[in-house]
Amino acid sequence: MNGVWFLVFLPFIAFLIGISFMGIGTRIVARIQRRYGPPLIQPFIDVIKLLSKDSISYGWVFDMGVWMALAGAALVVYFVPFADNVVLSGKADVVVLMYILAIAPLGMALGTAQAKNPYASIGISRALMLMLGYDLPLVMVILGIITYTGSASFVDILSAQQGGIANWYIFRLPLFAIVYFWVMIAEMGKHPFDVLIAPSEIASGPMVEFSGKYLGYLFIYMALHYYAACALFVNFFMGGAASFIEFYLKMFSVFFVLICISAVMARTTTQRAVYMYWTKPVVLAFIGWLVYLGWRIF
Amino acid sequence: MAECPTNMEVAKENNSILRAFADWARKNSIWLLHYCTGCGAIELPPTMTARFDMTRYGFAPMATPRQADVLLITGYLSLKTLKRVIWSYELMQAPKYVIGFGSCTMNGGHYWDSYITINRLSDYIPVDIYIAGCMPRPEAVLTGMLEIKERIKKKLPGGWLDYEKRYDWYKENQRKILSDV
Amino acid sequence: MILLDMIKADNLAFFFSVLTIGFFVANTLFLVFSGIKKGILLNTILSLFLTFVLLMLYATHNIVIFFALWEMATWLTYLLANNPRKSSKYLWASLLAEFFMLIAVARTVAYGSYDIAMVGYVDPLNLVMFCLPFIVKSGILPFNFWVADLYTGSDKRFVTYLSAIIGKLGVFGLLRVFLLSSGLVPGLFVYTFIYLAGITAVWATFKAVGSEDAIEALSFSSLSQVAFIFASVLLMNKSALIGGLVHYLNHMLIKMGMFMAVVYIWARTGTTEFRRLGDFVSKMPFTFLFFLMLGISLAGVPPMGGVISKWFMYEGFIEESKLLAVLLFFVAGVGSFLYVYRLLHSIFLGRKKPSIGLVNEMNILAILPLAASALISFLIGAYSRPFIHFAAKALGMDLAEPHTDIGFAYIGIVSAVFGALILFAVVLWLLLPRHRYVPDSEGYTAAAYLPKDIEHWDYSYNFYAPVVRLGDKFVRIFSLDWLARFWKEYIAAIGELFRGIYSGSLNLYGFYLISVIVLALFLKEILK
Repeated sequence: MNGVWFLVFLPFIAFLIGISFMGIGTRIVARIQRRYGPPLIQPFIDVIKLLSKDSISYGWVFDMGVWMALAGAALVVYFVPFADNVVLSGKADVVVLMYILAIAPLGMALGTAQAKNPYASIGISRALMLMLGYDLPLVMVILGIITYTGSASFVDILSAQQGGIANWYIFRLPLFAIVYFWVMIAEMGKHPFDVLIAPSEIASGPMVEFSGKYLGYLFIYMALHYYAACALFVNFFMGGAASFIEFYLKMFSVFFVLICISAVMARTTTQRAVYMYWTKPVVLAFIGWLVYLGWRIF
Repeated sequence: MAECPTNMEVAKENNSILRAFADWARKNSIWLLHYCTGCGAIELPPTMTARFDMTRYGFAPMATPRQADVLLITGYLSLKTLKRVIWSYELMQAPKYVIGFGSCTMNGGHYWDSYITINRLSDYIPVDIYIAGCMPRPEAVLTGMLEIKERIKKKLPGGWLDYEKRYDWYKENQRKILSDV
Repeated sequence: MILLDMIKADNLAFFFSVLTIGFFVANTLFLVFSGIKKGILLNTILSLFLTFVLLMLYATHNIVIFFALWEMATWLTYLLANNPRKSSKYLWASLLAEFFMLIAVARTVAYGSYDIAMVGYVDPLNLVMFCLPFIVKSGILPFNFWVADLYTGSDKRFVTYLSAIIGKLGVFGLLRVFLLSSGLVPGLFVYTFIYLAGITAVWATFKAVGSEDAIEALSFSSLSQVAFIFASVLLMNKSALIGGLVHYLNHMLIKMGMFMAVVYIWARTGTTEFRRLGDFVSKMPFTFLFFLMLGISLAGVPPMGGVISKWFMYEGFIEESKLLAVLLFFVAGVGSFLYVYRLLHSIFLGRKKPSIGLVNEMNILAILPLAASALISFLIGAYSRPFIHFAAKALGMDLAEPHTDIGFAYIGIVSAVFGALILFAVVLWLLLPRHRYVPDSEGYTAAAYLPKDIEHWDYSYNFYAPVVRLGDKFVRIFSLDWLARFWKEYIAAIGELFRGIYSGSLNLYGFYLISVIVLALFLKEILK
């Protein structure tokens, strides 16, 4: 089913994929902890329940922040190739994507700022600092991929990986894949880099004053973000996918490894996390630059 | 387990499919406020963790009242805590429920003659379900929580409607016992 | 008028003159109607004079007149800043650099020409000496020690002019000289200063992230962006040059708008410290809206203008394979997110501080420049073709083949899709169960009972403490305070040495007298 209907329903499909990841993820974590865990569609039920509750707001900036979070997250979905459909593409895909990924957190941050709660402010400041930390290795990897492929367009990156499993960037540029995976943990806000949420320290950080449909919107944003992060990894390093089933399985394998790592680690403090991100992945990415790109980077 | 001791009207019969969908969602996803007010809270971690695992029924602990559906009053309630409990209850968003754990919330339990704890919780905030015991075992806690689900399924009115209806009565009770509310 | 004819004839001069005149008009409009009563007349007259000096500077090709006007601009800036104690470092650094420029001018005149194009033909060192004031004016390492003092100490009526136009004069100078003598630029010079500019950008971003004062944060942000423009102009790559000029325009608009908002708040409340301000959005929603748009543009998020200019500059660097430089400037860009959010959070959103209170919205005539700058910045992003062609014409380039085309329709499509998604979010939000608005005092306080003390329940001091702690050593090294202290002690030691010479004791003077007489007799004997 192609064409206009696909374009219109793409965010919904992405939302459902994200919800399924969240559900399966919670269940996997529960099994690791030797208990049963909630039903697989629990996050979906959570979202519906949240959207049906009463809610309070602190002003028009609070409302606007939540709209921006939802719209920004859905906008990212249009830029990430979905299975064999490259929806919106141009010469500067990857660079524009880096900036569009920042719209939704900015919206959430503006909304929480008007909530005037210091817990929320601390949470957002930690989230921004963590973003400063992981953006350094992330940019190194993105620049490396762009220079290696010679183009910043997703069409070129995907076509450079066609022709068999050995052509996938995860095998041709393994150092970059490791660094990107490392960064992805912080980007999705999972242990050990979930200082941003930190329920027992800062009362769930930015989400402290959200209730009802506002919190529902944030959950939708989180689900879309899970989808976008996993899909980006698949498109950058695993050669995209030719069909929907293949796409889902590849994304799920990435998510599975992520969940298994995150289920067994504790939370790191912000300063340590930022220091770590500025040293270890940067060194790895730098070695990757020298090995894969040669001396022409200077 | 006693019912709420006031006469409330039954919730309006709203048979639309959206309302049924919303009720099903609300029944299957209930978020507790992770606020351990008294000694009865010691039974909460076993209920949440691997052995009795309440998450498989859809319950989950949440950090702030804004995000929570259910407030658990676990055990005795001193006046100091009562002030904050009332504040937290008013921060929660409808539909919201209150579960009274243990005998201290029903009639004072074995602190009935203390100068600093309250004897009847339902004078100050509306209670939906009581769970008897001192303290109730995780099995009893789970049965009480499942009873909340039954109440939602049967579309019985929740305590928050009563709080809205008799707000002045509750506030007067609260003011009699606390200095400022 | 001869000046106007000269400006119209020269494309580069036209670009810069249009920007300067537009800025001057907008700034004066704002200052007159902003409610600041004292000192506006003197400031306006001096700014008008400074604008004329700058227009002549843009138009001239004569090396001696260029130098004279540059000196005049420096002195006028010092005068307008109105704070001799804090502007002294700026004055010393600029005058020292202009001394070298004078040497270069003299050597070029001795070589036989009065034209700027001939500066590089004498020898490459001449070119470097001539460009030294440009580097100092732009605040690149190691000449960044004067920036903080000048901006924070300057008269608040002038600081907008300072940041929007004066801070970027170095870029103009570089363009004027390099465009005419591009083949003669020494590669080592370019290489070194691109990386120095990169480190400056990162250093300035760290200082802005850690600052507690709005003017200080904006001034370091200015320095960081100017370093970026400087490096991309130095690169002399087609895309980077176009990006640099568009970013010049964009940055001027952004800083103009942001400084206007902050100066207005300073004029009404007397302070610009973050921890004393809060919750201005309730009385100043339009100022907040335009400030937000400009902040988004500064951070480089589409659909505002930042993305176009930054994209061109990044592409220029990537074409020349200077990946390390791209990395440095990107880090500076991410840091800009942090201080833009801090500005929004601590000034406009956040909790009202009872000691300061709130301020009424700006006069419609005063908010007009702010609105115009936000709108033009948005147009640079959404409808960027005219601006890019304007910049290309200024550089004398022909953009017939759009090889640097980002796909101008691309950003338009992005904006349209984003608009549709926001519409969907709003419609869904309206259809769901009703919400209600609550006052400030109802907040989650984790069982601390604060409804009466809720004004103090706020987080606005030391906002980014972990990152400031981490970057502290790096910032301290590149702030060059240690170097300044070393020089001060060195000069003080020499001064002590000299002070010993005329210490005032009669014995020493007697000794001098006798030794001078002995020396004279001795010499008389030898030279006999």
